[in-house]
Amino acid sequence: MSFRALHPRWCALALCASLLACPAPPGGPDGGQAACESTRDFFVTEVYGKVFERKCNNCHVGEGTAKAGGSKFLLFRDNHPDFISANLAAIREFAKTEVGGKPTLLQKPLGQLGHMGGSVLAEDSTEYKALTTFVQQLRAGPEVTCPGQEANYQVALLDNEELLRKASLVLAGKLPPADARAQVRGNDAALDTALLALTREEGFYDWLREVWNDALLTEGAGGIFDLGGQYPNNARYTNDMHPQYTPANRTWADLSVREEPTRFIEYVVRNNLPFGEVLTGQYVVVNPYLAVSYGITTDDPPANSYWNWTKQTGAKQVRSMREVPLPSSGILSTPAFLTRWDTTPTNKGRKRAWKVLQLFLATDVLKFAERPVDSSQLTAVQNPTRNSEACRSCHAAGLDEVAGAFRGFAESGSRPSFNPEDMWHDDLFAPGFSGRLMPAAEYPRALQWMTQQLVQDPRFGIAVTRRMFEGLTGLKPSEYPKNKEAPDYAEQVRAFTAESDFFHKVGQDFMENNQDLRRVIVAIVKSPYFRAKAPTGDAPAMQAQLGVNLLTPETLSRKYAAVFGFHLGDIRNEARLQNVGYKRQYLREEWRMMLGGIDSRVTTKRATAVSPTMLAGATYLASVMACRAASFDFTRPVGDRALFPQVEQTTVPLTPRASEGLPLVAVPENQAKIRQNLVELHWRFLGEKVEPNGPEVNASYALFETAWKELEAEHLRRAATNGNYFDFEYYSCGGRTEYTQVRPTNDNFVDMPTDRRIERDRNFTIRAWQAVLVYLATDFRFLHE
Amino acid sequence: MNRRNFLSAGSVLGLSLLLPRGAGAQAAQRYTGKVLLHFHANGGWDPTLFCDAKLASTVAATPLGQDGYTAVTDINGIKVPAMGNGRFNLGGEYAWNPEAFVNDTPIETPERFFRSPEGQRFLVLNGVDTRTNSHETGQQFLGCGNLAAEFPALAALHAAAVTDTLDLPMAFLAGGTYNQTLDVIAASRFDRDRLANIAFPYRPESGNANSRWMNPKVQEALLAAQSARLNALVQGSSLPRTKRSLATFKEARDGNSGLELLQDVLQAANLPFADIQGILPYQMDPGLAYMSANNRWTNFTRPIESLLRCFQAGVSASATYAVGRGFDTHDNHDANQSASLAWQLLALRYTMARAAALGLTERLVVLVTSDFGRTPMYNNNNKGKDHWNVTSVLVAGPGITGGRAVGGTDAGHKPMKVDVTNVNNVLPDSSGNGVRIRPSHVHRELRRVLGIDEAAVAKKFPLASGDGEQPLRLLG
Repeated sequence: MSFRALHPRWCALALCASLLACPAPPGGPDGGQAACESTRDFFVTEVYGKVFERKCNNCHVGEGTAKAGGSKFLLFRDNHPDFISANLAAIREFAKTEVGGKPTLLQKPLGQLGHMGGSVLAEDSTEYKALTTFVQQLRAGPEVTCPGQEANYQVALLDNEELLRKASLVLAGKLPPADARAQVRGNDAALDTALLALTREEGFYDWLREVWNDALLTEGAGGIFDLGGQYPNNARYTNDMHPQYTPANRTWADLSVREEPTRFIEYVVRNNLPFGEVLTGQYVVVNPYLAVSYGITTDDPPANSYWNWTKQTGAKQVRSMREVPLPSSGILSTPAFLTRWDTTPTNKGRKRAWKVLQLFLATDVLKFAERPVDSSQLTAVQNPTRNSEACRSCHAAGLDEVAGAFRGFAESGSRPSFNPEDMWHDDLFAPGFSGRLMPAAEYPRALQWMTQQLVQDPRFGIAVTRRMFEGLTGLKPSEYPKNKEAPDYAEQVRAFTAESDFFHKVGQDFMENNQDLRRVIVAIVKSPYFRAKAPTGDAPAMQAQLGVNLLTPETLSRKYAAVFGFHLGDIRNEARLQNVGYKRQYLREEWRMMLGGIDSRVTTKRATAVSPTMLAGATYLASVMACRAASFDFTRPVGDRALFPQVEQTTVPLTPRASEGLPLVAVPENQAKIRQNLVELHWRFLGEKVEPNGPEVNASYALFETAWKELEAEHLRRAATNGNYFDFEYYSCGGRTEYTQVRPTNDNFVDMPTDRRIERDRNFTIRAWQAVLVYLATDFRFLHE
Repeated sequence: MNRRNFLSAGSVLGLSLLLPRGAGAQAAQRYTGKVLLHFHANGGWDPTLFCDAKLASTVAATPLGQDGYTAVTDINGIKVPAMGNGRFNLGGEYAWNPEAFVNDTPIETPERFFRSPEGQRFLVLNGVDTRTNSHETGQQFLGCGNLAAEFPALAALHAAAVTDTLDLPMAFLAGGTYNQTLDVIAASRFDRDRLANIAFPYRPESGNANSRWMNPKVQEALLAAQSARLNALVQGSSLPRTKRSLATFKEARDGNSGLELLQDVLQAANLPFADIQGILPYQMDPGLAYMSANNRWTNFTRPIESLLRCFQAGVSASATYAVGRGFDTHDNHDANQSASLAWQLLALRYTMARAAALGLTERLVVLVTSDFGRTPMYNNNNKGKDHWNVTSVLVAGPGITGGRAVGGTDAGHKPMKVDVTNVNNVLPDSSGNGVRIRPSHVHRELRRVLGIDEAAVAKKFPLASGDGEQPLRLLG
């Protein structure tokens, strides 16, 4: 299957020239051209980057001097998530104006009509010719489009079964059962249903929280202490003199504070609410520990109740010795968000505003500041953030007005207390949203007002799509190509535009469908960004971002569980991790870091490539799993096995000999079973559809047989001196432990009944399989999906 | 032909280059060339508090607020706050007072630092124009030398250049702020408690040489099968991102050959305070007691010790590291900034002293940066200082003449220029003959000192040229 269906505006030039009757092309600056090129393409490749970005964007942007000078011609920078559409619309309108029969837009750049910026283009320049062509095109009539022509990535996609497997592992941390696999085979409707079903699995919500924490980093917040004395009943978790204080409860309360924002997100999605409620919800999502802290209840949390997160109203804080309501506004009013993105009396909430703009409007105002800034020239300017051009670039672009929404939340220190009577800062731009001033009556609930506006903005849909895109693919959304002289600049722009259009389209669908996050996820999963498998043609720029993604440590640990049939934890403490609290946090922090994860505090960006130490760590962990799994799986009935449904311990590839000098005799029936089992393992571990006698199975079978021969030969050597070689190399690799059951009374696994144990490997097969399992679990395709 | 190119050619020719790493594999080679340690002070430090000191001024053109000290000492051109004057939190009256440690502030002052043998190794570059007030952009510019777009961190670039000819298990140790690699090398992070498992992944009990998961010959067959399989994947047709991932995966497999060298690092664990105190002669009671209590010293020095041990063991070529304290002092600037600076200076002294003890002096290049500087004036209401694009950079190492300062700022901490032909000549900013020092200049020089300026991987990321970017011979 190849992918050719993304955006109708695309024009694959070669195909267009040969197959389609395109509308008249806009033509290049030096004359006509044969192929169809849409107005949009021409604008993005020839006009925006080469003309407007270079010559106009310093002044003709919202915060620039042109606006201050009264110009109505305003552009959007490429840090606006849909700057192409926004600019096209703005320019189309402005192109209509003319003076003396000539478009204003073609006179001003030449320095005519009193252009404040003087002459910025020469009339005989390539740029001016491109601008002329573009303006004439806009004035001539409707946009040129190239219908029927689409973005062409020239890739083969994962088929339905392969996609379901990959999506199951990534989204839900499980493998699809055989019947689900059969159902989606060649059936796209069934695939859609199955993908949607994945977003209702328990494991999905773990993944969802991780994806949002990667951006929010609120798990790196300070914990229960940050709630301080501003919250009722908090002392019982922070003050060891308090009669109800216990260290365990403090640990739980700490974790509760840090997870509150992502649990809120989970709640909204789990209950099929419009996703915007993660910002607008005027309630809290708490477990019993937080409920006590917020003064919703004074009851001690029941044992093992950490996992019980519910929607509650009536959250309170303490002000002047009395409890007053907390004006909740989704995750933004949570202590974890407010302390992780803390502020100061001079920062004035801007750090919080920057995060809101970046994460929920896909607008990174700090990108403005990449332009050379020389604040050393500003000391003579009063209140430079408002009055200096160098500072206004960020501060006027929504930063200050959104910062105003955090009015009332404490700016001194990190404690997230709220004072509804706080005044706002006269030296900042007024609170508001996207140019709309906040009504003064809304000041006491400023954050609630702002988030109500925000979630209706189309950029919210794009921003949510971009976040899920990054979570699913590990890719940062592309930036508009910087190097206009690059030989493949036009191709790079096309790839960028295809991706940008994809975000726009999916984001719009999200906004039009009750802000249903699941639709976004399914759309991305089915796109080539997640689904591309192999190249079918030469399209380097379009394919540059496509390919496998390194699994996060959390996904990898879920994959271990899905593939081997039981969880991985620390080799000594796995039971404790599962039994006590962190039941889904399978990897201890030091392993998460070693495998490229984040701690949300110092290390906030995940590794994207395997280092030698990561590979060594993964090898060690795979060895742990294989050691346990090879024997454990054989202790189970065939129907319950994860790994060896086709073979038994006694399924030997060759007949064991009585002495070393005798020939080895093949057992064809067993070899066929072993190969068939390997076929299933290749699918299970690597997602490969292979044949029993194909090269992949030949290689893994060769390893199995070689290992078996080595073990059998060593046994014969030892038998010559009345010894044997039936013992496992490492004692714990014997099947004596129920790795799927933890004792209710302590942290240890349950011992296996003696009649089911496998103490020794008398047929040399378990140890041979152990080697195969390590081989598969250290493979490139195991660590990437 | 370097190793990376050879591997690439090999895959085209269908050669089997992924030899098994079993008993027959070659003994791992140690890296003995120059190593880079990049310290970054997160948040934006204030050079006027330690290496570009200047007194308060109310002159309209050069306003500068400075309540922290009342005199400046010149140490061979490095201007530091004078000790014993006023309320400077770093030294003077607080130096030996245990109360000074209430806020976890150790004893160290700029003057003591720059007079010490360790501090004398550092060249101070003042008046460095970061051209930004954005944390992330500043971290990027100081980390890679390029403002317009992300380049690989200098530490990543150096490690990539080294691994062109030598397999290293942890070539680039990423513990700092800016760790971008752009896939030229994979960043390694490690926890010392897990290092033993990493060094010996095929041992269930890492400390027991006889412990093993499987029969040695079976393990050998496994390694051979892994290599053959990877070779087949590399030679297959893949999407670009998959190709890049396969390349780094293969590098990782190759780098594993040196994992046993990590034993040296393991054996160096938990250096006790008693073994260290002699290295830092300024440590006196009660500061000594404070630092040695509650594992403060161990916790503080352990990460740095680990990095240096990796360099010594020949398993790493570069590292980034950020000392834990923050420098983004929008509030109560003097106290918070000076406390963070004290920890930073202590870390630098420790680094240089231990590097000498470990025989790394002729190998170790140290770069010390921060996001940008801080405004000359205090904020009105909270004595904080905001972002300022002018900062200072410290560098030390072989080929770098320390104990002096290059570049400068005026009385209001605005940047001055340096003469392109002789950087020791500081010129007014209005001069048409000089240029402002930028992070790009520093990185161009560091590439030269590290010997990677001509490396193919560095050439893929050329530093800016043109007006204002003329090469400056800053490092001697």
